[in-house]
Amino acid sequence: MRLLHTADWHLGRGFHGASLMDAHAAVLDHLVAVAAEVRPDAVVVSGDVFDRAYPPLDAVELYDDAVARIAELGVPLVITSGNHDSPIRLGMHGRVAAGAGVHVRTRARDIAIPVPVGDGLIYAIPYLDPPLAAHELDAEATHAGVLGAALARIAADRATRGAGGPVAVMAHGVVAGGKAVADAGAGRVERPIDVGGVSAVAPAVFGGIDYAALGHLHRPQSIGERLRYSGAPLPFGFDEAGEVKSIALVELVAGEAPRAELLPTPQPRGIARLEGTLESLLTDAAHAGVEEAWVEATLTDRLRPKLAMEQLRRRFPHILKIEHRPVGADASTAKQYAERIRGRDPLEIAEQFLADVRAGGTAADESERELLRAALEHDSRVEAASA
Amino acid sequence: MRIHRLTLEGIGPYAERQEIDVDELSSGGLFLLAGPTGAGKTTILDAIVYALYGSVPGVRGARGERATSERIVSDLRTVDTQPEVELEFSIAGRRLKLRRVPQHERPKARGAGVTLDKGSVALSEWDGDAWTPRSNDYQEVALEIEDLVGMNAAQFAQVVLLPQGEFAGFLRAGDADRQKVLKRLFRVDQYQSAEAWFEERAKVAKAKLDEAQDDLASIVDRLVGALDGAADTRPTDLSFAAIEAWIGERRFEAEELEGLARVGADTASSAHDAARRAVEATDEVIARRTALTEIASKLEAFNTRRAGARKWIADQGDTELAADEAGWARAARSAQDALARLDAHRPDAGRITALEAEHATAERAAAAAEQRALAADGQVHELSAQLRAAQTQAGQAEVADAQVVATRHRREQLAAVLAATERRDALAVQLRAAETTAAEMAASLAEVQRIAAGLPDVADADAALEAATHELAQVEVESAQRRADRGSARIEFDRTQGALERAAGLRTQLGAASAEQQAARDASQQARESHLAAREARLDAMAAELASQISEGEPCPVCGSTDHPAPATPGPGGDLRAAESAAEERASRARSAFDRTTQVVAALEAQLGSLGDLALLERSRAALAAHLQQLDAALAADEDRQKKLTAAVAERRAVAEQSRQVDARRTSADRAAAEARLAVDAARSAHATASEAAGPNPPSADDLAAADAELARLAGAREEAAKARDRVTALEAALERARQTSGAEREHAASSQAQARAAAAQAAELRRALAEVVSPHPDLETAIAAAARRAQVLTAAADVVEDCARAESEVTAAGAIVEAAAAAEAIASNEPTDPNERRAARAAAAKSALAQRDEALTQHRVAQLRLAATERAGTEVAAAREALGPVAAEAERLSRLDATVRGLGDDNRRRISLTTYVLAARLEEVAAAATVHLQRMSSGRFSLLHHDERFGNGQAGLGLRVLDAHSGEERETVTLSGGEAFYASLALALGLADVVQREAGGRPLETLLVDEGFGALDPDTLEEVLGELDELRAAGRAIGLVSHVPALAERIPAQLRVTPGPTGSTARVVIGELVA
Repeated sequence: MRLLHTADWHLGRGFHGASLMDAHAAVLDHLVAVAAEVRPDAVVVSGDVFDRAYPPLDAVELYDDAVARIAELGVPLVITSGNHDSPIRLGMHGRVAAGAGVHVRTRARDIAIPVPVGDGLIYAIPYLDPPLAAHELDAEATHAGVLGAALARIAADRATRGAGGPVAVMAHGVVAGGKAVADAGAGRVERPIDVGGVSAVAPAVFGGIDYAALGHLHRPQSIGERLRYSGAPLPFGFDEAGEVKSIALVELVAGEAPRAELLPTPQPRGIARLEGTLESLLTDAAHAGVEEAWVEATLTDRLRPKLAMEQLRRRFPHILKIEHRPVGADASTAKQYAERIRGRDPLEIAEQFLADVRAGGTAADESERELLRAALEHDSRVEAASA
Repeated sequence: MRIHRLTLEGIGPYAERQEIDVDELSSGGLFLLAGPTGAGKTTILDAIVYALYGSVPGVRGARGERATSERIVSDLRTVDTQPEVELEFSIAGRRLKLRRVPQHERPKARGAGVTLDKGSVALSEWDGDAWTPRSNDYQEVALEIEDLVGMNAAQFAQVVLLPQGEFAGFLRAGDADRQKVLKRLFRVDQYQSAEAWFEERAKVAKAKLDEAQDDLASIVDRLVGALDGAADTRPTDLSFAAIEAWIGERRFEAEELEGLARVGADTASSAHDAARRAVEATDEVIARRTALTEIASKLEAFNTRRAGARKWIADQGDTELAADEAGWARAARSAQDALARLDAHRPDAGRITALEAEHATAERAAAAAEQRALAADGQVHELSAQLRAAQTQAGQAEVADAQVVATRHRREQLAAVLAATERRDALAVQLRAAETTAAEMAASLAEVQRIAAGLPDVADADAALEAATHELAQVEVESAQRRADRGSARIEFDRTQGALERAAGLRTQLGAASAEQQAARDASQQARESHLAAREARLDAMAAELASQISEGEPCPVCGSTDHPAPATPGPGGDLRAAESAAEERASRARSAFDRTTQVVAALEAQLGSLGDLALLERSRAALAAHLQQLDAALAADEDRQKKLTAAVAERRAVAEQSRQVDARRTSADRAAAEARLAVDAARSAHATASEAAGPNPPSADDLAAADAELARLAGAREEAAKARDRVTALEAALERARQTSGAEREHAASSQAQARAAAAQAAELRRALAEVVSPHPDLETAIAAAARRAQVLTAAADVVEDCARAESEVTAAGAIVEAAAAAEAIASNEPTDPNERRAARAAAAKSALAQRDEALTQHRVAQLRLAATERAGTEVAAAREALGPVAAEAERLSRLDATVRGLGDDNRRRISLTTYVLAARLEEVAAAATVHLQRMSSGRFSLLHHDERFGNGQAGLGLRVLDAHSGEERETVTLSGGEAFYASLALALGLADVVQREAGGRPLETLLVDEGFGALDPDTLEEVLGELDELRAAGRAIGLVSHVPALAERIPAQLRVTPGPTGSTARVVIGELVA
């Protein structure tokens, strides 16, 4: 069985405010072209088709177009909903579209109905929100619980069919061992799905499956031999700079390890993360190559530069984000109060207070310190006396 | 604080009772109050606040108009439904229930119409089993709630509940308002109390200063009073300088006055002195006159006495002396000498008496000594007799002594002999034993010798054994040789046998192989013939074969023609080529078969040949068989011999052994016998010696005992002798002593007598001398008395004479003095002549002078006092200034410090009070925590910063500003757009809750309610904000959102669906349904 595995399109999402519509269009064109050339047994999209439950109109159009084109090729398409999608909206016309080779699976009750593809089967598990799915699947309301129950149903169904070709499963969630983009950088790209603090599921849950086509984590990666995240086809945050985005072409033979080829997707304008003083960013010739890229600028000036965005925008018209991280210990005045009184006892705080507020930073002299001490301790005695 | 249940009835749009399980709703951390506009979502939040505080937050309508409690009562309720709100919540570890009934109209209990019910409040607490009522009093409940929650309604609405349109309250608040909220949330009691303490102390110090200054004023008053100043001479002001100047002036005045007074006093004093001296002069005169008179009279008396003395002397008969007054002294002296001499004899009488006593004593002593001497003599006599007796006894004892020695000697001898006898007896026994042993040994030796005789010599036995062994060995060697021979012979035989057998076998095989060969030859011959026949046939039919190979157009191999009109056809019999080939095949196969058999035969023949001459083999086998038989027989014989020899060897060995043993035994028996004989000899000789020693008549033990008894007896006698000797010694000593005593006593008596005589003689002598001295007087006493009297009178007389002389000169002198005094008196003309009168007058004058002086002195004193007072005043003021100094300084210091600590005053350039300073740190942390949330919601654009700049003169320290990363500028919070302000406020509320959570002792804010505001966000920002809120689900918080935005309804599974209806709204908790 040959699959073209992709996921996490997040249609409708922008890149720090900039529109990704064109980039998404290019990616979907590329997908269609690859499908036409390679003629896989199926194209599988493992969730997060849209970025929101209520996606913008052009995102909907893009999706509609892509689906239609792939269907016209005669290549079966299996789509599941992710945690961003609205299962009901995405699943609209699901039963009807199956006849055209477009299998949209967004309901828990359809999990055990496979899609026969090539010489094998695909079972499509949409994103299961534990509290909602627990009832339907009669399982514990945790990710591990509902996914386990889903896979149990799949196993039961397989048992009725006897041995045959390879079996692939699509799922949307976090499998232990997988790295989110957020692990690498400071931003958070994937929406957290922690329930009760635990979101990850053990890979062992997919035992007996020849291939698990996973979605949700945006970085393309494999976990063990048989589990793979195709990753998102586009970068959605500066943390993803430098990563190669791709879709996966997977060859499955029953009983053997799957073989995957990663096909890079067309990228929009580049992403650049620059760091330096405002001056250097404006004048350094080394940055000439990324002037047209989407830029994130981290300014290291001691003092916060004024109107930095405007100035930088003149050189980098697509600058999207500015951060100020001054170099040097005495740079910012932030947290000066908290620093001064952290971990100190009241008397020290009072002395510090005097030193700070008085002109010339005059510290408390002995008599003043005595007074402060009496003032602060006086109370406890009074309280004790009156208690 | 965590809310568990909310129950509404007749509140807002909820006519019917709505029970909302908030625990269930907030189980996922985030919940939504969803429903169309006006359905009653905000009412839910209002109800919560109303339940807690009895008032409703926010402004619904015009600014400044506060919704009152009446407005929450539902218009849609039936008039007999009691509106109420009940809130069940946990806070600070306690579970509480608040039920409020707002003011409302209800039907009268009696009669028609309605009445106004004021409403009520009830607070109860869960104690583990049941709800315990706590209070029904509004004020009490209000205090309790404010204490527990830590905030009043207004603050609650800034921190826990962000009301619609008012959510930015905390964000935009002024420093003072913000301080109020922060003070409630963070523990700064200590600092606030410290500030209060400073205020108090500054006040106290100020009061002390005022007091001190008042004191100063009163001092001045007093001074003024003391210095007799009139009101207009008071110092102009109360500054130290003025006061001191004023005091200076007063002092100058006082000094002048004092000077004058002093002069006056001096003058009066001198006047008084003069008057007094006049009086004294007169007194002097009077006194002197009186003295003179006294002395004169004394002189009179002396003269009288002198005359008396003269008379006495004359009476004594000493007329010469009576007239010679100058000689009286001398006479007195001599009289005294006589007296002294007499006196010297006084002790004589005593001595006489003593001597007489001595005499008597000595006589008595002599008599006593005599007596004692006599007694001693008697004793001597007696003791001598005793001594003789004792000596006799002692002599007897000597004899006994000698006997003892002899007896002892005898006893010893007896003992020795007895011992010797015993030894002899013992030795006799030993001797017998030794003899017995010797006899035994001899017997055993004889025995052994006998046995030995029956056995051969050891040497012989050994030789025989050797011979036998040697022979046995030989036999074995031979036998072994023969066996080897047999072995090789056997092998040979076997070999021969085998060869013969093989030959037989081969012959048989050969026969068979030859037969085969023959058959194969025949077959081959046949096959060849067939082949030849087949070939012929083929050749015959060659034409047809060639014909089959040609095709149209190809030249014929035979004639070359390309035309083949009538090719030959193969005849029957099929393919002859094949047949020939087959036949050929068969022939060759047969041939090879024949060859094979030929080979076999040849091989067999060869093998047979190799075996050699068979006849020879036969013969050799027979020979070998005979040889073997021979050898076997010989071997059997060998065996027999071996057996026999082995037995012989064994026997001889045994014999040799035996001989050896017996030999050994004999040796030892020999030795033993010799030893036993020696023992016998020794015992015998010992016995002989002992017998000698014992002698013929050995004594018995009884003899010994008798000797011992004798010894004991003699020992007793010896003791007696010793005692007798001692007694002799003692008696001799006593006798000697007695003698000595006697002699001594006699001597003693003699000397005493002599003594007595001497004493008597001395006494008589003294008596005589004394009588001489005292004549004519009868005794010493009388003589002494008379002499004394004379001396006395004469002495007195001499004294009188002297006295008179002295008194006369005195009189003269006194007279002179009187005159001088009179002269010195300086009588004035107007004074009375009588001295006493004069004196009285002068005294009076002196008295008045004294009065004047006193007055002058008083005045002087007053002036002095005043001067002193002014000086003191100066000192006092200086002291007061000194005292005031520290007090003022202290007050100054405290006041400054107080101002600084409370954020007022010039010293505090930041205008931050201590509490605010501490709160500023908290606010910094809150801003930092809020910034974390804010950054995520604004894609990193905005941060919240704390600042402490002040505007104008107000207090500062708790400012908040927004940092826009794009422009790098800090902006005031009012410049944020509606949507930005919304999520900034949300971030701030979250940050506040974060920080409070972290601080120990802070009040955790677990609940957050946000009323609308989401509509102001664009979809991307809404995503960010919701993403942020998603993060908080896991943090244990309960965050409730009110919104009509549909995206929220699809994102948040836990919802309170508020549905409007004609008879009121309903609120239903719905979890996880995605359809309305």
